[in-house]
Amino acid sequence: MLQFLSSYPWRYYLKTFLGKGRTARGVLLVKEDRVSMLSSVGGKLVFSSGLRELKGAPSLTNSSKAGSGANFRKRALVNRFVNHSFEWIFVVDTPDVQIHQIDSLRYGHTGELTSRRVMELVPSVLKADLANWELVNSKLEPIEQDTTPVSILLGLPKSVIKELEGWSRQFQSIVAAILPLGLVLLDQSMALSPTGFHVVLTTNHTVIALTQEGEIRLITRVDPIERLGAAQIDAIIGSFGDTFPEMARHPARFISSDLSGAELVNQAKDFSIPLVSTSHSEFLDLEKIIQGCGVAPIEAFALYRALRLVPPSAYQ
Amino acid sequence: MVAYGFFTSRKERSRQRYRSDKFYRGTFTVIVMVIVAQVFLVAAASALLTAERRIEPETRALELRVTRLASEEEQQAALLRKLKILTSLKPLIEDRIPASRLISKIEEAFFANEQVGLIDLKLSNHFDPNDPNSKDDFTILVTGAIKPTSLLPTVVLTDFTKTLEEKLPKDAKVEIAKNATVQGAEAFAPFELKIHYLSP
Repeated sequence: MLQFLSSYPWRYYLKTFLGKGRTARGVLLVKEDRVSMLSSVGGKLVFSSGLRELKGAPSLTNSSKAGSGANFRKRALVNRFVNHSFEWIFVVDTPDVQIHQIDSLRYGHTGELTSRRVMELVPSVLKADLANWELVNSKLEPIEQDTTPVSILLGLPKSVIKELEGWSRQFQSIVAAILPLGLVLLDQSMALSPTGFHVVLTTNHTVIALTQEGEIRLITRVDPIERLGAAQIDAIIGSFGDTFPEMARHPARFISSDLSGAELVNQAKDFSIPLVSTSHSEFLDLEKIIQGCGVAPIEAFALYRALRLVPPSAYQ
Repeated sequence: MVAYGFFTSRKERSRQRYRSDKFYRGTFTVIVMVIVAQVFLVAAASALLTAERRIEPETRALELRVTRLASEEEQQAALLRKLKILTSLKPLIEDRIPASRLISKIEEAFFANEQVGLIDLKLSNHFDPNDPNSKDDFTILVTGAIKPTSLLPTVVLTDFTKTLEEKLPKDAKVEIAKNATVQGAEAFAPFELKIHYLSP
């Protein structure tokens, strides 16, 4: 009874008593050093960056200390109709994101993805109890949709999820998905180069993947390039190349939403294999769609990618 | 495409499921209807209360007036009783056939018949003036005599009785108390009629 009363969405019913209205969506990139947003304003997609400084902006930790969302709403969400029908997609970059490649044969088809199950699948997993877990196939689709030989287990701290959902709840809005930035950038990179190496550089991680025809064959997550060094990453790519020599002939694609084009080229020059640095010039069509993307084009395009990665709600 | 609700908590997913749950929404609709009905009820009750408060002085004044009128009525009870009696007597008085008219009708009957003469007429009325429902109850004793003619006195008396019945009101009953017979050497045949009339 108490659960029934506590979860009773009376405010939502009250607001949608005469009709549910149209559901709108927005994507928020939430990092320790940056918050940016992509959402529709007057029918046009607008990218806004530098929102972290605004009081009430979403945070990965201690959002309660950041104050209420009233100021953020007034400054950043004006004309965006953020209400009970609004869906947020959060793209996050936090050091505690975990990415593990597992064999689908080991996973099987049944069973809930509990922390115990996760520990059975990946014995080396860290803080399994403190994270929520999701499993995707090698095409980054739900595993139920198509069980591919390779599956990817992703972990995100429960505290981060709680913070973001709590932040969204103050606007009565819904959280459609929370996506790790590394996953979104990898998907974007795979769209540009379906076959070959992908090196995704974020503030907290380096995701190295080898794909064939849009399917992941090998994937690993290591420390960021600044901490690990180019040589170490080069060695990992080399070991991947030894496993799949025919795919290793393709140049490796570098992608980062943090580094500028010049910085990315500078990082790439230390590698022994041929590299392609992802540039905003590869997304000329998106430049016309997204207003204000010139400030951080790859970041804006990544948010657009995230918008396309999440299907509409099945509950509506 | 990843699954909808990727990395969202069970609580958040339940929240979304509850939003689209038909039972939950149905419950809400019922609650809203009950609340709206209550609001209407309270509004109606307050309107009634306001109206009652507005008309309260008027009601009090009317009640006072009713009480005063009741006491006045009590004071005038004797008069009212008399008025009631008079009112009940009114149709009796209006529809009454006075004794003088009855007598004149009898006289008319005698005038109409030359062979019959009036000797004596006694009229009594059993009307009770103290009884409001009392009616005129006339008893008239007519003593007369029939002059000697070629016709038999009894036949003349029968004709006279018929004439009398025609003249008198319908409710009057005429009966022959003593038939006309010639006694001894008398030329006239005396007779007696009894007329009874009860006013309707």
